[in-house]
Amino acid sequence: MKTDEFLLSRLIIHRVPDKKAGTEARGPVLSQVAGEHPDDVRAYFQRRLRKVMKDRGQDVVIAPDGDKRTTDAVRAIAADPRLFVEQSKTLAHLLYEAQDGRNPAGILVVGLGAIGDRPAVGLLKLENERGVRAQEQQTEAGETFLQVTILSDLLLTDRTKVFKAAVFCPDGDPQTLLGVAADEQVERNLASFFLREFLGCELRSSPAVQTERYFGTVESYLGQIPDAEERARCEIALLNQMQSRLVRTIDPVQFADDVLGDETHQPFLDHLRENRVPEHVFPKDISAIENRIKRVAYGFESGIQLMGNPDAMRDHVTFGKKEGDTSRVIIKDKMVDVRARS
Amino acid sequence: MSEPAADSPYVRLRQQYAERYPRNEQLAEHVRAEIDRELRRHAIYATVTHRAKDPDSFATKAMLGGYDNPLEDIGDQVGVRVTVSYLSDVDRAEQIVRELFDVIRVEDKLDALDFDKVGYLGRHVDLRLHEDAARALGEDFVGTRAEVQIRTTAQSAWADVTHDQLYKPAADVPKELKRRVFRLVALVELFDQEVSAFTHEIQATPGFADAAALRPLAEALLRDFDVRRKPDRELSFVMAAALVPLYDQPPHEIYEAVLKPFIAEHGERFRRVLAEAVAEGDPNPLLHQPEIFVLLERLTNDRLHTKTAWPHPVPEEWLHDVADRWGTRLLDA
Repeated sequence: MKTDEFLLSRLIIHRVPDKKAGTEARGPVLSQVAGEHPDDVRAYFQRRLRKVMKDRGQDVVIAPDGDKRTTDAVRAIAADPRLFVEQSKTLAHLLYEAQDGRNPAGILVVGLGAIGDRPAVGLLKLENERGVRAQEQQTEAGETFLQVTILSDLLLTDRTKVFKAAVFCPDGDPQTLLGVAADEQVERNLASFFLREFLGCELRSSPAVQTERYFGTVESYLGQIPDAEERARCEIALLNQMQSRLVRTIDPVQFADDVLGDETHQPFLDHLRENRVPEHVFPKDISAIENRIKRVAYGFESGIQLMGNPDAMRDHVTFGKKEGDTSRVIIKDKMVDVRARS
Repeated sequence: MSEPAADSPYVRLRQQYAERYPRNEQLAEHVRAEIDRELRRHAIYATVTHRAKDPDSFATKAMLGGYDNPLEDIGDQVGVRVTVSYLSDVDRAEQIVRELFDVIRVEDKLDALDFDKVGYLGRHVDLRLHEDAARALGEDFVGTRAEVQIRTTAQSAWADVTHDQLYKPAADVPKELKRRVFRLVALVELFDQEVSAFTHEIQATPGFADAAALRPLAEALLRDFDVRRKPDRELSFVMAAALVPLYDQPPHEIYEAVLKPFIAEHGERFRRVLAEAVAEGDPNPLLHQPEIFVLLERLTNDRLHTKTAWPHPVPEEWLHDVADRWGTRLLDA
């Protein structure tokens, strides 16, 4: 789905309060009409929605055992825009229902628009932020001073991330919905309450499948780098990305920026695109490639092989000054064993 | 004035020439179009005009010139005039003509003058089409000659003003008056040389050639996207100096080789981005600058270098904003 072509034409905003323990359930505060939103507001939401989808949007499908009420409401809006206001209220109720005491208050923006010639519905859940505003004031004596006010009901500034979002678009068959969802608040994966409880969806490809596909595609690209030492450096970086416990998500563009050189950066991104590996961030799950990333091996023309785990390679093996085609490999380590092997 | 007799030599010559006049007219237009296209491709700004000698002029010249075979001997039956701004462009234009056609002879009028003489300046190139190109137009175009005159604007102005008074006077021009006219041509020489000298100096200024690469883009913005805002030239200069060197091609070739096809492919998308920015109150001035096409093309095909080459005086937020609008993921440095 081309979410970067999403054109937003109408939007409605509902307030979704929190469910703090010990307080009475209040339910959402609903707008009764969509209201007239100026072009700049509409364009702003449209752009933020596109950006979050570009950065973190993942394809989702309706979960076979999931609650269908949200996607039914979305489908109803897409089929008949006259139901926009009423169905958006249903969506606000469903979000409120899906949240628990841990989820802060915020707003739900429901947008109706189009992607190409098909209707599309966008959902954004935003949370209040705090900020300060400085305003020029004057004392009774006419002296100027700046009065600072704390604003606690800011929703979206240029610097804040769009928290949870989804875009749905019917796919020819009115019963089928294409969906993309994104979550900038949870580092590892889409928040379960949003994906499963509210949207009633699941990821089209599991993180394990996405990770395996990414790994295979990157390896195939790195295999084409003509310089053996450069290839080795990138391969180690890939294996470190896969093995590091600190790296919980994969950002292909970040990898390109951090690891690839001047000559390989753009061809790498082109290679991902040609192989339909998306550029957006996705959760890492190495369960399908665990055996492939345990060890890295350097092979040499003489038949010598150097093998070890990627962390050890990174810490103990360096390349010295090259002499023509001949590499100088330096191992700095304590030798503990020598043995014959078949 | 009485009409010439139907069987007079004048009428006979006129008639003979009139039969080939349509072919000459077609050839003149063909040569003009070829030269004009190549000059544009090389970013040489010139006025290119053409004419086939009209039948009366031909008959008069044939009668007065004492030609044995005027239909073959009169060389300027097909004429194209190239008027360039700078003296240095005369050489470049001649080179282009040499590459396009089969050149028979080049005459630089300056060479014909003694060092202590002044007079008409310009370069005349006699040529014919390459045989294959001629045959594509028709068999009777094979071997047909054309004359291309290449002059500067100043040379052209002098020649236009003086031609009729000096060479086709109703009465003989007194020597003193002729002398005054010829004194002017010395100024023309000086003018062209001075213009040429400072043009070289300007073009040697860092970033000048890069900024010149944006000229067709400003036209495209106005023509194809109805952007009527006057570009910020200083911003263009800074942006061009940073981004144009990212291309492998020389600056004057970038538009035709890369940007023109890019605009053709992505024009609709750009139109949408522009409309959305306008709806938002135009937060990013870059979107209305000619260099926006360079930026979008580079973001599409070389985003790392676009980021690393970004000029310091231009806010980086503008780059990220354009990237967001264009749908390119660009991470903070």
